[in-house]
This record gives sequence, structure tokens and C-alpha cells, in this order.
Amino acid sequence: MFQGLSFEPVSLPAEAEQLRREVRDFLAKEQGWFPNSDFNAGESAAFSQRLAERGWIGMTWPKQYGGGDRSFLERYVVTEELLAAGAPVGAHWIADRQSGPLLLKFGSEAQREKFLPAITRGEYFFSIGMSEPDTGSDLASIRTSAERTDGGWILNGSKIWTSGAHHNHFLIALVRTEPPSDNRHAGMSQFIVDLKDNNVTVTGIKNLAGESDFNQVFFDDVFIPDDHVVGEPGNGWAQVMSELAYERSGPERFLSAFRVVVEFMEEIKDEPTDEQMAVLGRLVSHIVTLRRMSISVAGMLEAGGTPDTEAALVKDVGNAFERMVPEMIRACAPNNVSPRFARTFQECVLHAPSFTLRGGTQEILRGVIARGLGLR
Amino acid sequence: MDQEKQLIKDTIERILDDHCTPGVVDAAEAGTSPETLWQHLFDNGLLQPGDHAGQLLRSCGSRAVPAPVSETIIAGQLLVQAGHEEPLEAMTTLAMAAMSEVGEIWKGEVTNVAFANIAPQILVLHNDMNRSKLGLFNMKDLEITSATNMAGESRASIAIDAKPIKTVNAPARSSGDVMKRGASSRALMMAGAIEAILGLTVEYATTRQQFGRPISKFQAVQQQLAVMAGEAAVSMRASDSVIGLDANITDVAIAKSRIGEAAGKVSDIAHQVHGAIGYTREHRLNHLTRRLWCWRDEYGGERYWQQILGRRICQSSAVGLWSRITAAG
Repeated sequence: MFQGLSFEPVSLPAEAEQLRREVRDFLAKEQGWFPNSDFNAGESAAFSQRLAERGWIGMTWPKQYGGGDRSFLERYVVTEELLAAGAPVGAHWIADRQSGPLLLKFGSEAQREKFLPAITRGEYFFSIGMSEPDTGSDLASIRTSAERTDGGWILNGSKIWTSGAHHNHFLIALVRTEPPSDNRHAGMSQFIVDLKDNNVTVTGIKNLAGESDFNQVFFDDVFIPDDHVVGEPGNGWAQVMSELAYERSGPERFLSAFRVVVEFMEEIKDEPTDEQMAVLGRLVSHIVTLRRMSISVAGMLEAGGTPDTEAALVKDVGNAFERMVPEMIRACAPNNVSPRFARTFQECVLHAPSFTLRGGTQEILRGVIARGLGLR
Repeated sequence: MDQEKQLIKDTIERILDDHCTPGVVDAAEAGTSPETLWQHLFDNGLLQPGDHAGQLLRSCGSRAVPAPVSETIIAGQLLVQAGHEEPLEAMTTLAMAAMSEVGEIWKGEVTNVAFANIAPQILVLHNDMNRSKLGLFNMKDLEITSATNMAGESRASIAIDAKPIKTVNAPARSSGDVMKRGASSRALMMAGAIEAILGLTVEYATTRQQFGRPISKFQAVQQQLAVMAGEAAVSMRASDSVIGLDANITDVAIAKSRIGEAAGKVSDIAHQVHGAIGYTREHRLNHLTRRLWCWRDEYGGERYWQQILGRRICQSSAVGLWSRITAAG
């Protein structure tokens, strides 16, 4: 009999629950930010630095690079507490989630020493440079390219949808370092680009919600020294593929709309109708199950696996759920709602289209799952 | 899955593959009791309560076993809980209702009784305000009005006016246990059926050719199968939380409602991919989808359990919602 993808139950260790209490204590004392209803919508360098002081950036990295040598499950607990609270994690999120792990896995020792400790101190924030105006899901079609020069490369081209590039420090860009050939995935490299370089131009793009969070980044003969090439030239595709399980597997892939559920509950607390209670129960049944599967994926990462298909599945089911949340709540919300509920709800609706686009579109993720079923 | 659990699963599924063929399922719908299957399950000790029971129910769901497996196990559990050590020796079905006692005679009516047409005995839980009682009856002493559900499984009404062959006092609120275990059993059976449907549908899509290629090569079909795989994975994981048949009410509510939701989506996609052939009695898909449509409504449908969950959540504050979610593990 065919077995679908398996998500073995994983229990969080005792250290993780202790850590949870510490994060909750930390959050209880935090002020000055409104809980966001999409983790991508809140960023604060100061907040990230407060987290860094607690050792909660780069938690799983070796201590010699400023990390905490902690498990993926402990990191999972910290990240889910922050997301559930709607904390402004945007500034350090990418650096912590994938840029750092990329350098740990593929970077040179010098790169690890230069960048990782600074990330753990909340001093360096990173953006991802993959998409281009003509390159979205078909990542291998990128045109941004670099030519060899003395001591490095000259980079030309453009990246788009680069969240945070307007105030982050570095961008890791996937670029062509050899012309396209029959092997579509060959000839690409990743460069660490200094966003403050004179030949780098960052132009904000206003999203549908009216925020200027993402950008187009232009490279005009930017010099990239050899020591800013991540690992080996030509290994870009393998590097990007290895980031995917990290990028796709976390609790941000089903918790983006969580604050709307909390505000809904607050809104109905005095006299919840049967229908409202049933909708709340339904929402929670989805969240609990998705969380259990997400923890299972964190367990697979902890065990050293590459749960690419599992991560894609949890992200796909999670994102579809996130998009459903405001619609389900809307169908039974009270006629008169508080300004606080309205604000959270509207922010979620305006961000919702992006849930199933970012980090791998729904259609691409379903293609990955189909491949896991042996159909492609 | 650890080795021991895998061994148990393999043993169960070997018995089912040998003795619960599609032919056996069809024959049962026509009234033939699957006695050989039952005997093998019984001889292997599988019909007594135990750690294996949750996996047994998942596997039975995947093969559309047409017999009161969950009822016999839950009846066994109720008796053990009531301090009655002697195991059940025969196929037993289950019901609960208010009864009146006239001397040693119990009088009352129970409905939607599973497999009363083949089970020689029934355990009835009779609840009143202060205590519960269990009564085991010989089916031949009772008046049965036959009926079946959409899946052709016997779901009879029984008028009881008879003396139980055995009576045991049960812990109070045993009816809550029956609802939780019954719902857990349906959740497990549905998860098994959903996994089997995924396998059948992938196999169909990769072998059925149209336009010169297997239909699994079309993106429209791949995307649908990916959605099905998502619902199957969700169902399996949700069922893991009730696999001990002793789960708390939160886990039962989550499993029964979430898997019930998945059941509808999975059957829709399965029938769409299978095309017309899947819409026949001859093809085995119907054994599974008709059962999903029935089991999702037994022991409380999605709405029933979502409301229980929502009501419990509303007893605490919104600020505490996240803690409740993390406490559920």
C-alpha cells in the first residue's frame, strides 16, 4: 500500500519548554510595537538587537561563531513564540533563518568569522536576491551575471522583491558566473553584496498594503571580491536548493494570520454564538495539526535530514490555511467590531495574497509534492 | 515508526490483505458475515483492547473492513474499566441509550447500531444521572429493524425488552468515554481510508493513459493529487494523537473534525481523478469513499466537535489562546 509523506510525532524537549517561558517573560516586558498579523509586516532593528542580547539569533550555530549550539527544536520554540505574539522580527529573520546557515554550510572560514558573529549580535541583516523582473518561479532563468576580473567579479543586473534591502546590510544574490548551457542549473554562484556599495541602487516598491517593504536592487558594475563569493563559484544552484527546507519549514508558514484569530476571540468573548465557537474550534483544529507537522519537520532537520518535500507540504497546507483565516472569520464576525480588530483583520487581508506567493508559490510547492508522489 | 509498531502493522495488514478482499467487502454488503476474517483477527488477539488497537482501526479503515471491530474493542475497554476481567469471546456491537429497568429486564430503544445483522451480541451502556450500567445481550433476544448507511454497512434500530446475559456497573460518565472513543475510532478509520485512497488514486493516475500519456503527467491532475497528499498527511498526523483510544477531549475534537474535513476534500479529488470508472460499484474506490461520507458523521460530525472545542477555548481568554495551542503539543 502506498504511504504518503510521514510526519512522525515529535515531543519538544524539557529545555525547549524552559526556553518558552523565558521568551514569554521577555515578550511580557516588551512595548512600543503593535502585534502584526503577518510576520513580514513588522521590523525593528532595535527589537532584533534586544533578541540578540538574549542569544536568540543564530541559536543553532556553533558557539565559536557567536551561536548558542542549541537544537532546531529550541529554535523552533523561540520563533513560534515570537510569531504568535506578532513581534517585529523582520529585520533579522532572513539572516537567522537562511543566510547564516548558508554560510555555515558552504561559506569559507573567513566568511563565517566575518558575518556570523555580527548576525548573532543583531548588527548585520541580510536580504535574499533571487527573483528578477523576468525570473520568478523559474529561478534558473536568471540574467544577473558577473564577469571575472582581477581579484573578483564585476556584477551587473537587477534583483526584485528583495524584502528589507532598503535598510539591510547585505544581500546574497544568485548570479550567473558562466553563460547558460544545456545544463540549466550549472554556472551560477552566490555573492555577498554590500548594499551600501556606491554601485548598488535600491528602489522601494510599494506593495498592495501600501508598505514599501520590498525593493528592486540594481547592480551597475559592482565589484565583488573573491572572498565575497559563497563557497565555490558554480555551486550556486546546489546552495539555493539546500536553503529551501529551512526557508519553507518554519512556523511562519501557517502563523501569519494568527493575530486575527486572537482578535476575533477577543471580539466575541462576551457572548460567543454557536457558529462563532465552531469557527474558532475549526481554526484551532487546523493550527494545532499544522504545528504538530511543523515540529515534526524541525525534528527531521535536527536529525540532519533534508525534508524538502515535507517542508513544501507543510508550507502548502499552511499557506492555504492562512488565506482561509480572514475569510472564515469574516463570515461570522460581529456586525460592529473594535478598531483594534479592524486594523489587524485588514492588515491580514491586504497581506494575504502574498502568503501563497512568497518562498515558493502554491503551484510550485504542489509540483514538489507531486514529485514526491512519483508523478514527475 | 519504530520496529515493533511496524511489525504489528505488517501483521495486521497481511491478515487483512488475505481475508478482507474487495470481494469480501461486497459480499458483506449483500449480507454475508466476514467470519474467516473475524476468526483470524480474533485468533491473533487483535480484538482485545491493547496498544495495537489504534493501528488496527487505521488498517481496517484502509481495507473497508465490514465488521464491528471498533465496537468490539470499545466494548472490551468499557468492561475492563468497569472491573470486569473476562474478555469478550464473540463479535460484539455497541450502543448507548437511556433504558428503563423492570426487574431484570431492560427496556428501551437504540438506533444506528453497527453490524447488528452479523454480531451475535451487543453491549448496551445505560446511563442515568447517578450511575452507568453495562448490559450484554444476545442479539437473538432482541427485535432488530434492519437498515444500512450509505456504505452498505448495517446500522439497525433495536427494540430492547430482554434480560442481559451479563450486567456490570460502570464508572459514571461512561457515555463521555463512548463518544470520545467512538469518535477516535472513526477518526482512525477515516485516516486509514484516506491513505488508501491516496495510493489508489496515484496508481490510477500513473496507469490511466489519455492523449498519449498517463494522466498523472497533466499539471491539473498533479496539483489535485498534491492537495490530496496534503490532506492525507494532515489526517495521519491528527490520527496519531488519538491512536491510544484514550485521548483527551481536545485531541479527539481536533482529530475527528479535522479528519472529517479532509474526508470530503479527499473523496472529491479521488472521484474527479478516477473519472467514470471510479463512479461504479465495480471499482473499489466506492468502498472507501462511501465509508468516508458515513464515518465523518458518526459519533459527531465536524460541526459538533468544532463547537465543543470552541466552547472550551472560549472559557479562557484570548490572551491565553496561544498557550492552549502549545499545551496541546
